[in-house]
Amino acid sequence: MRRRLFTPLDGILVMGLILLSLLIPIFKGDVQPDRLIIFEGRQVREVAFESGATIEAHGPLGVTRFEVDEEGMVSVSTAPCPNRLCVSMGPISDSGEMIICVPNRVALEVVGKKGGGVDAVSR
Amino acid sequence: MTSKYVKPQKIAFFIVALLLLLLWARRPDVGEVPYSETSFLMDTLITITVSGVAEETAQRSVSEAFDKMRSVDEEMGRRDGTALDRLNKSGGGDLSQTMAAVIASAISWAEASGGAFDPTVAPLLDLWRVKDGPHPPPSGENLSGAVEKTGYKALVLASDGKSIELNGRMLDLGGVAKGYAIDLAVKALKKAGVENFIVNAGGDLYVSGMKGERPWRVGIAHPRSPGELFAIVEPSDSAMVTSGDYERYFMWEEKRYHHIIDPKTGYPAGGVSSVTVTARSAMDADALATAVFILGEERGIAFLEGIDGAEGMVINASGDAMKSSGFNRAAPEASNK
Repeated sequence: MRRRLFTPLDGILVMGLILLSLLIPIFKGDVQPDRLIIFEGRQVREVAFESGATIEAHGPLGVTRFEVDEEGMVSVSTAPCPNRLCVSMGPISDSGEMIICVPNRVALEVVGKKGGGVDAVSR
Repeated sequence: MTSKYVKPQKIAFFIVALLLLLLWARRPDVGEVPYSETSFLMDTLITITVSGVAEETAQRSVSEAFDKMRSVDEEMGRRDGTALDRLNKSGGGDLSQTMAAVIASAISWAEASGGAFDPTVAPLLDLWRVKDGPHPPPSGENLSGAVEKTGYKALVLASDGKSIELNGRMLDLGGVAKGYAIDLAVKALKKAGVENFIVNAGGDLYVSGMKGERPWRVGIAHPRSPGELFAIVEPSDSAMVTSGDYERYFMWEEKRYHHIIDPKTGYPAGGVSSVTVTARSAMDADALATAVFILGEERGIAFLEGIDGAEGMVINASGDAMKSSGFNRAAPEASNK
């Protein structure tokens, strides 16, 4: 008698593979390289999100300096704008958060950091 | 006798099946990575993020959306050379269709809010000069003079809505034009077939659809802890606008003077730190957030309860939140923080 190529056990194995492939996207997550996006008027550039970094952004009023501290918190250290509201905005660290200096037309956004980031902030 | 060896055809079948399943599981979804563009416009940073469409469609639709927003800025910004500037300098005149729509909406919200929102607040904004940095606040005498020059009831909009007489008033459409620009961007994106996007004009938002397989997550800024979020919510297909006393202000002798001026007193409105409003249109949410901020916690929420399609949350000076009855439904808290 000719033997069958596939057995019931093979069927279970195929089902297991299908289940595994369905589960893979769940574990893919949202992980992307951590980086900062710097806006300078119409110019946009990306820099690596590195602790201890100082990033300069140039605008019509001068240079706005962003600093990343050892804990990965980003804040404005110096700014040429009159109210310096960007300096008092406080540190940010999560994906989607931004520091904006409207008078100097510069901004910084945290992108792709792991964790419960947000896609936008209503402020 | 049964063979203990697996047939080569069977091994080949499983290898091919495994490879196909792995390829399927790791397939790149169309538009999985959202496409985003940013520009400084309307005195703020505007970001449009779209998801779920091919990059070419995303680029084209976002560019069209920005063009619409830029046209509103060029017409309704309060600076030399704009149509609004000419209207203010002439004391009135003919209106374009877009300007007529925005002014009619502004007057309508001024009436509905009993003058808490008022598009004629320009003389007070000019006196306070909040953008100019720390300086002594204006004198009571100067403020009284500016309050007398304020009041939407003096405006006379023609019955066909195509012209207006300002009667000594000066218009500032900052409280609605940004929202209107967002609404035009939303229309442009939807017309281009984009359903999943966020238009973010300096924190005034319109959220549509989903980000891939999950809702868009929106943080509401904490009014007293810079950089922190008061809540993370997941609105869908609605505008969300927050007005706060922490975004534009100056400090003088340890006192905060912010940009949301009560047209009746001439002073920055007190008692509230932040107001977040959701509505079907960003123009409505924009006007409502200002009105509720000036009305205050209880009157503001009561006002919102009477408006179809609008919900809101007021955070008072002590940091306590008061929400309208449907706010949690319109902006449910994110399940995964």
